[in-house]
Amino acid sequence: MASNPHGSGHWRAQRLTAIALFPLCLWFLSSLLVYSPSDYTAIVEWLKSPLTATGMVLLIGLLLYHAQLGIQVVIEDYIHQSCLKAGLIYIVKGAALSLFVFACFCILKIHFHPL
Amino acid sequence: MMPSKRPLSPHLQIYKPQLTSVLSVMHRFTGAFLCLGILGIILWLYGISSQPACFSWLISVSQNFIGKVFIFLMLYAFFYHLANGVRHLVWDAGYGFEIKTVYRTGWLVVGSSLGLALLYWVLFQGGRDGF
Repeated sequence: MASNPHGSGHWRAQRLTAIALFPLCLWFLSSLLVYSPSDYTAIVEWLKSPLTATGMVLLIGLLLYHAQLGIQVVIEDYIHQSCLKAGLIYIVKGAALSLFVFACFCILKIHFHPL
Repeated sequence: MMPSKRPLSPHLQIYKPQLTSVLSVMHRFTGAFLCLGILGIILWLYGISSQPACFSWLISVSQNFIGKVFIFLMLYAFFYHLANGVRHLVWDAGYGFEIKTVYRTGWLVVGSSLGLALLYWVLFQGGRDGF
């Protein structure tokens, strides 16, 4: 435990992302009640709006950031070999960042030119 | 590797399960499970943006029995993590540490997360055939 030298920053980021995700997640879930996620035309119409696209980029980015912080704590708690621990944390960070970039391109593509 | 002299996280098996510890472990489990939900949302966005086959595959999977069970579990995990997350934030602010309060808010989390998941599920299914 406490092997992270930037523990207080991590702790604060975990809480701040949690607070920001509270309204964002509720916005996303309530929007899915209005625009059915399986209705292609309705959902594209909704996702195309710049406001929605902004919300989705923030939602996905914060979800991935919050998830990365959480997985990092689990790795720090249960992996005791320092090289493996550091390696896994970097892999998770890289995966989260890559997924964020990928999701941004999907959202932009829907905004400008969906399939 | 240098043997660590630092304390390790406790091994959970040695403790008798109690509401407090079970809810704490569940916060982690639901958090890990919800990562699959993030991947699902990204896959859904990818399908909408450029892969009609991926989009229709996701929709058909979500409409069969296993898909529906998975989505309900995802919703429950989400509302659990949300409710228990608020409980954690209240603790961080320095409130609610009395044993009686800890148990009361614990049961409140169990009840409200199930209630919210069911409510959302019913609202969602209303007027629609599947996810």
